[in-house]
Amino acid sequence: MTTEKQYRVIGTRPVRPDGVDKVTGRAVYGADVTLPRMIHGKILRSPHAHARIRGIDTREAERYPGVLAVVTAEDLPDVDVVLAVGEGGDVNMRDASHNIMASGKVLYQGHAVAAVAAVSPHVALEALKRIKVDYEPLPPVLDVRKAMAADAPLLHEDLFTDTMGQRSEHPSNIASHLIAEEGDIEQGFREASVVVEREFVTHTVHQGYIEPHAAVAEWRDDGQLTIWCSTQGAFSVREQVAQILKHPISQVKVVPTEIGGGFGGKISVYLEPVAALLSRKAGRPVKMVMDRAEVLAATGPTPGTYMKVKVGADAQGNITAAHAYLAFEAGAYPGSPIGAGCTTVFAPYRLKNVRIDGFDVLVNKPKSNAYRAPGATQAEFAAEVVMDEICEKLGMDPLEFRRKNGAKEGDWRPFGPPYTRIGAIECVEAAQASEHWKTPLVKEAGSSRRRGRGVASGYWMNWGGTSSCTGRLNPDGTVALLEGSTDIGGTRASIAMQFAEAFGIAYERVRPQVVDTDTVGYNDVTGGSRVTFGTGYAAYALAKQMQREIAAKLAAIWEVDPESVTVEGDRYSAGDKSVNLVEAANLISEQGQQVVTSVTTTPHNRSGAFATHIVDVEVDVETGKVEILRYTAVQDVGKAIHPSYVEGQMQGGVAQGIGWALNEEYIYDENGSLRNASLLDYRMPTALDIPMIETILVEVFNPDHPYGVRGVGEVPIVPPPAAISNAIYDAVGVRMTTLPISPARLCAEIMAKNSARA
Amino acid sequence: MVSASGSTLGELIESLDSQYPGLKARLVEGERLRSGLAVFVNGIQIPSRLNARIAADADIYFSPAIAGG
Repeated sequence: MTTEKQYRVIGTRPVRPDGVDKVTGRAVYGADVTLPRMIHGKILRSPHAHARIRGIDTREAERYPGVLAVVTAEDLPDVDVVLAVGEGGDVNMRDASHNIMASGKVLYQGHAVAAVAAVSPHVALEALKRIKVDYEPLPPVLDVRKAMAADAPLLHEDLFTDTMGQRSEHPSNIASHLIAEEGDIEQGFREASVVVEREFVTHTVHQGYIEPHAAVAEWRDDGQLTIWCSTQGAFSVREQVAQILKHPISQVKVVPTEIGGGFGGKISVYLEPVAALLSRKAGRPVKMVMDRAEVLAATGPTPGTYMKVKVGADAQGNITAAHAYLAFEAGAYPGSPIGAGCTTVFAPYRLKNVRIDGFDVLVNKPKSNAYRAPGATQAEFAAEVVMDEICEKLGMDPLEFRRKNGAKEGDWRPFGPPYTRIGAIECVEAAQASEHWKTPLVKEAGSSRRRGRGVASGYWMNWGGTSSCTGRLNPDGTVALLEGSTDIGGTRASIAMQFAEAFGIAYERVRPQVVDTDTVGYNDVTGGSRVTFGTGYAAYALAKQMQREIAAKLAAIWEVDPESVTVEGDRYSAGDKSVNLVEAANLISEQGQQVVTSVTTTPHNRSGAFATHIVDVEVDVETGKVEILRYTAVQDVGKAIHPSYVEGQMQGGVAQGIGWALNEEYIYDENGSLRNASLLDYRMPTALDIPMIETILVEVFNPDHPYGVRGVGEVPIVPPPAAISNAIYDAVGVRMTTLPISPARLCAEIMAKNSARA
Repeated sequence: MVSASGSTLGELIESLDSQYPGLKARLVEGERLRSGLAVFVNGIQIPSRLNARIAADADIYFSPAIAGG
């Protein structure tokens, strides 16, 4: 599908400006930063999942040759500020401070308790062994349902449950209980011909970014602090560090390096404030780089969950009622993505009678963090498996069911205004029309192999945020475009393309650069699927503002009324005078003038992104291994600025969703010790595990953006687990309601089914 | 859906509180909405300050502040 309007630049597939540097090793990532006199920091982490810290003795470490600084929580100031971090989520900075350096108690295995800076990483590691921590071990609680029990061990004795603004009488591990309600679900279930209710469990999963966290901090004698780091948001790092250290934000500069993946996990700070403290104490720049085990054990994975979903439908296939009970593991501090889970759980559907209960629950695991459509994958996994079973009981085509019940503009949604123009139904219709759906699946594949096909839909909301850009017109008519949005998925290109389109020049004549927090205006994080929308919107506004400024300068040179100067493409005209941009730049330059323009925009983005996926699987009933035979992702992208990078986002999201569906999980022992903190044992899919993901781009114009762009980065991770579970059911007749659907779990279910039949 | 009056967010919440006593305490903390809440006016999120202006005949939604990745 395409929109009618024709563009010169948008919709083409130029080479990304950062591509050659990244494939040739020239690009500078977090761990590549090196400064004169730089030393190295390492962190001592708790071996216990839950323990009181009775004392920390750092004296021997401080005396160890080569050690220049040691810090503990005592070096951090007390803070009590709530800061919007990421996409509007509020984070208590006291919790963030205690998370980067434990104070009083350790709350998960891997929780930082002290840090050392030394002349080499090896000396720092040796010194860590000489720090003595006196722990009083406490019973950990690792399961969300056990943590919700009244007699569960408490992580925080001063935490009370907030139920829609009402505080509980007694302390609890339940930080909050959200409720969204519309219509009358009891009446809706009475009207149903079929009702399906199932329980679901998902386990903790990591974003799996390939580049570990890394930061270099230099605290100068004048108090100026500069931090180089791999982050999704340099301005967010600046705010968090300033708050946690109680240091003036004007004295904190953050220089973002290239980033080797983030997916939501590189928004919160972990190393940056610690490196800064060590640098202040040592009087030298300090580099800190996590190893893989630290990344897995001590950053912010996405939560495990317990969920219960109940849906009713009448004989004609209309949903009459839906109820979801979602309990998400927040980890050591409040703040799981339960709000997003509640918002998205039934999002693809038009519902009249619905209730959603969401619980944010603390457990002795790392503080959970955002992961690509945070909370949506878990919640929609549960809902979409139940919808599949409804279709089975009704004998109804699952795509036709989704088309019939699909949400559209004006429909109710939990926790927000009604939908604006969305493409949920268009995605389902495109899936129905796809070659994949129309091609019958051959189900028999040998004596022990069965094949099945499944579908699922998904939703993730869009966000605009604040973005700033600066443009400088060079004398040769090219433009230096300064941005503050970390480029994760090709956004240097997608932003430059929007600028080029609006400015009337070729893409190759724009040189985009991601710069530091002192060099460009404020930018919200690269997250929430927002950058091509939000920073692209700023680039569009910048182009239009630069055109006005060029026209005004030409008017002064030509001595004509500025209003009389017209702009068409790259040509500026007034009466009998007409120049192209190169000539205009020359004229302006000859006058000793410059066009240097900055804009800041905060566009509203009321839209959302929907997707419908189709997958064929082959199950080996003897081993439980699942092979993905064919996968098609259909998504409403609004307008694909650079189709290759949109397709890349969709394929990457599906790949992560397949890993979540089939293999990835944190495995803890009964003491709360993570047993698979390496990529050998934490099994992410590789290129050998996944076929080429087919993509179908649906373009339903987003009226909140001049080119109709929607955020595309997150929703493609949402449907895969449900689609795969539904395909497995189609293949072997067992409903898999626990993620991941590992060979052992699937084998057990197949054997249980066979035993019951016998 | 309920109706309430007021030209600012604070006045609107006072009006709601007169209809549903105790609601203000659930929504407000000092001079702002409680941490973790967001408010939408005619589909657009506005700053959560109580002195934020509200247009006439507006549709208002209170919502948890949602974080993304």
